[in-house]
Amino acid sequence: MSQRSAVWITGVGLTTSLGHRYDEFANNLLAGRSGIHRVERFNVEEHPSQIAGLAGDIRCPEGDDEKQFASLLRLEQMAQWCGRTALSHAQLETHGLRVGLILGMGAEWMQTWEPDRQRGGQRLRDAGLDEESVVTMAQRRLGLRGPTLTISAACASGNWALAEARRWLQLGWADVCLAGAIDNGVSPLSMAGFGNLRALSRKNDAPQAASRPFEKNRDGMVLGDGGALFVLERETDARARQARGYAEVSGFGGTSDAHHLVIPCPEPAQGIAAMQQALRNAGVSPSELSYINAHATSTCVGDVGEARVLQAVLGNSVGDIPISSTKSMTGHLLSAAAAVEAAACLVALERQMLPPTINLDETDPDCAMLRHVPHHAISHSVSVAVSNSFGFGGNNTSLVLRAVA
Amino acid sequence: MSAACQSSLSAESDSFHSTSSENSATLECSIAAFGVANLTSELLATIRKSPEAHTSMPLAPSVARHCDEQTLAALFAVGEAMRKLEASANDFEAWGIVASTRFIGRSFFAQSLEKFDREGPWNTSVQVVPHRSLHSTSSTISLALGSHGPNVGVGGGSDGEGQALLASASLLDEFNLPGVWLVLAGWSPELNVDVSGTPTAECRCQALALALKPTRDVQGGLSFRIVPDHDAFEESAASTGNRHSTSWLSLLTALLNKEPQNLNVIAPLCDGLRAELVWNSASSAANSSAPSDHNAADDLRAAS
Repeated sequence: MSQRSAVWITGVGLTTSLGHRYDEFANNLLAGRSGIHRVERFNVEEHPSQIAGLAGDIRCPEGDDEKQFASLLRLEQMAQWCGRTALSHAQLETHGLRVGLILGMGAEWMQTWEPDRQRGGQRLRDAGLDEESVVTMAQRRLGLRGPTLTISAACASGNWALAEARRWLQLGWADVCLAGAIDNGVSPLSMAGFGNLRALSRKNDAPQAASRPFEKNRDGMVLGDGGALFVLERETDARARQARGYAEVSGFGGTSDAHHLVIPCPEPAQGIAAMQQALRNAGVSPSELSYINAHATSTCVGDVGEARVLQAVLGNSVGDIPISSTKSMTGHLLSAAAAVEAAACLVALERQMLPPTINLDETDPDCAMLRHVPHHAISHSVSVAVSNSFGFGGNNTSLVLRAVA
Repeated sequence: MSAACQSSLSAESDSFHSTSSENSATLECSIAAFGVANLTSELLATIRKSPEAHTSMPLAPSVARHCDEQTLAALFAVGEAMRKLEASANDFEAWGIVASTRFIGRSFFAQSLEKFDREGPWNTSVQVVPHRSLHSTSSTISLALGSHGPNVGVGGGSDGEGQALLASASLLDEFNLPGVWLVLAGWSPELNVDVSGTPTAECRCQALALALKPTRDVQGGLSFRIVPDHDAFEESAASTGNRHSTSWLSLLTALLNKEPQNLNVIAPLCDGLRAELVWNSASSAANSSAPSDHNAADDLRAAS
């Protein structure tokens, strides 16, 4: 192996409002279905935004103890479901292997304390009850051995998890990595905080039309929950066991705005730098890109800022390369957004179809220079896909995924 | 950095994956300087009031007002290290930042939940997520320094500090950065709170900041290495799970405050990797990893 050996994604496990299996997610994504509904899990009557893209009940993986699974917190269930199904999807037996486990999670403890308190627990008050983090628990329950990492770059956490996993494999620190991100951000306090930031859509009467990235009449993002974990292996190892490769993790770039903890920098130099880094790292030119899954959350400042990034990076190709935001269907999964959008890119590479931006009735004039994929999926030859993810704290990332020959 | 790069097939249970440690790379980072914070609630309040005076970074009081205490301690520790480097904030424009906090926001979150119960969603603070997430500390340091390199939060619990060593070494190597700030922060003793979020005992907020540089840029001095340890992985095969919840914040702080020339510490980091803290002698090892007799608390008391 070398420090630059190719790394493949050979399995996917996910849980989202569009499905709990890769194929189900792919079918719903390409059908342009919205997973956004009124929140019923807790009382939202007094919340400014009352809608979200919820994954629903997290299923117990086949063969696991259902009673034990039911006793876990939702975030822990997500980790176990996504991890177990990803390994199964990859048809990988991990015994004897060093399996790196990297979870993108931005608010693990808040998402532990709030639901624990709701069911009468004392973890928030008593630090002695917080001995085991989700990543450690997942490693133990999945029976894995190897290095672990919880990583957060806000909404870009999933891209970081995949980039770190690739690095660990290239360094030989792990034989296989299980990496991605999960988020349980649709909670009473989280919805209230984001709602009071005026970041969330208040189109409560029309949930499925509420998330409108790049659209003139958008009024904010819609939260979602869930996540996706991926099995990553060095190409040589994957080929040796005749594993199916869904994509090569081909390039990554990451920068910081150093501008504001919440508001993206109006001058998008660092977003541009992140995307250019990723393309350089992958060794591709802008004109070689087949599809871009935009971060576009359905906020005015974010969508327009990203359009400017894309215009600067793509140059003359800006009107040629199809771009969509799948948050129009899933909502914004916060820390898990990048991971689920990487899964959307795998769908595009595998099915040679581009998922649409639904609800894109009238494009914001400031985003009109882009080649959008409105309303319906389209057939398209896809060999290189890019997923942009930007986040609170001025985090900018871009991930390049390439079709496996 | 040494990467041996030939694939080999293991004779163990899976014959398709390259598992031998000869194929694994050791990464080494020089510790160019370090800074320590060990702050009472009164001292934290002083920093919050006038952050620039105590951190040498142009962070607006309006931002510091909402920062978590662990972030304030982290900023103070970075400021201490900067002072040893005789550097100013704008010397770190291209640096990356890796910060590991422990249970960030416990007190504020308890207060927020109580308030939510009493007053409902409309009075919920918008500062919970931006300032109490895992990335909040690294992002605030990035903002304060004006750093455009990558910034990430890692770990988050009592078993996560070693992850910061892995992530910072990997970041420094992968992105070819001029340096990375590795920052660890937490409460001692760990914070317990009552129903209203008030700490039930006096705790100090601690932080350690290491200015890491590529070894090629520093002659000798202290460094840490991430070393593959396949033998240890094989030996530990009988059990599973994370057995390495070392408090790296306490351990490193204690070690660095001793004579660094005597340091040669090897500790397991996680399954299959170990960390080594070593002194490399060289005539120009100067810069700074020497122990500090500077007392942060005295400084703050004087300032307040």
